[in-house]
Amino acid sequence: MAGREVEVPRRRVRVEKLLRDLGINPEVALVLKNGELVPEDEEIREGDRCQILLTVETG
Amino acid sequence: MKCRKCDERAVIRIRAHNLALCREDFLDFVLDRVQKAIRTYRLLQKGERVLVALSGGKDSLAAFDILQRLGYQVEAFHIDLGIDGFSEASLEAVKAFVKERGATLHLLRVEDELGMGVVEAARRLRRPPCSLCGMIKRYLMNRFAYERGFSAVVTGHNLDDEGATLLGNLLRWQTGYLSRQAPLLPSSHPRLIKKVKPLVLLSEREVLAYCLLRPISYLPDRCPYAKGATSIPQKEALNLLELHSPGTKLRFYQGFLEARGSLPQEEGELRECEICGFLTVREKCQFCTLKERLNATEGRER
Repeated sequence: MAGREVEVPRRRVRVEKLLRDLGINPEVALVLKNGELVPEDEEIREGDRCQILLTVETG
Repeated sequence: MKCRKCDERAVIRIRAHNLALCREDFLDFVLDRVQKAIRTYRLLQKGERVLVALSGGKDSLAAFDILQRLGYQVEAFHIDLGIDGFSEASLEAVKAFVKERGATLHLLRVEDELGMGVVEAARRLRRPPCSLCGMIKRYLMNRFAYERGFSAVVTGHNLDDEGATLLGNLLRWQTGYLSRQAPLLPSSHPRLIKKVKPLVLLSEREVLAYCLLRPISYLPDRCPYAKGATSIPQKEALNLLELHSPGTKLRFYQGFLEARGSLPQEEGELRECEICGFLTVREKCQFCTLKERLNATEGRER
C-alpha cells in the first residue's frame, strides 16, 4: 500500500500509458502527480513528481 | 478530464460507474454509496449506539469517518493483538485518529484476556496466527458491545474484501460460509450483537482515494502475518476481470446477495457457552476452548 515513486520514463506520458507500461492494473492503483490525485488521462511531464499507490500487495 | 457533476477538474475516474469526479463530488459520492448500502441492506437506524472496530488501516478509519459524517452515534474500539511492532503502530494510528475527532476510544488487549498476545498463543498451539486472530477479534468485539450496550458492531470490509471472500467460498464450495456471508449479520439473541459492513458498495481503490482526499492518516502497513493470504490472489483475479469488464465486482457481489435468499441456511443451532454464556454451536465456545488449551500448555512452557 505504501506509495512507490516512479521515474517519468519520457518527456511526457499519460497516466494510463504509464500504468500500462509498468504492467499495473489501473483498478488497483491511484496516481499522485506532485502530491495531487490525478485521473488516468492526466499528462505527466519530465520534472513532475510521480507516485503510484497500490491497493493490493503483489508477490 | 472534467467532473461529471460540476465541470471542475476531475481527480478520479471510476469506470464501474462510468464517472469522473472532482474532490468534493467524489467525497459526496462515497457518502452516498454508504448511505445506499445502509438503506438497501437495512444496516443501521439513526440513534443507534454503534461501535466501530478500528484497526488503524484505511478501511476502518474511513468507515468511522463516514458514519460520523452521516450523523450516526459512533464510538471507536481497538484490540491490541500483541504483534511486535505492528500492534504499537496500529494503536498509534488509531489514537491519533480519535483524538483529532474528539471521539471515545475503547481499548482491549489480547494479553489481558489470554495472558499473552496472539502470536505467542499461536506459537504455543502450533497454529498460524491468522487462524486465531479472526475468532479472537469477533469474540471480543461482540462481548464488549454486549456489555456496554451497543446495538451494532461495524467493520470496514469493502467490496474487494467481500468479493474475494465470496470467490474463495465458491472456489471451495463452502456452502455453510456462503449462506452466512452478508453485509448484515442480524442479532438473533440478546448476547449476539448485530454486525454490519457499511463499505460493501465501495471498492478498495475508492476507499483509498477517500482517505487521500479527505484526508485521513491511516497506517499503510499490513499485518506482517497477512503476507501470502489467500485473499490477495483472489482480489487480483477479480480486479483483472474488473479491468476487462468494469462493474464486474459489484455485479458479482450484489448478484450473490440477491440470490443468497434461495441458498439453504446451514446455521447450526446456537446455544450458550457453558463457561462464558456467549453463543456457540458447541458446548464451549471457541474462545473459552482456546483459553483452556493455552492453560494446558502452561506447564510445558515452564
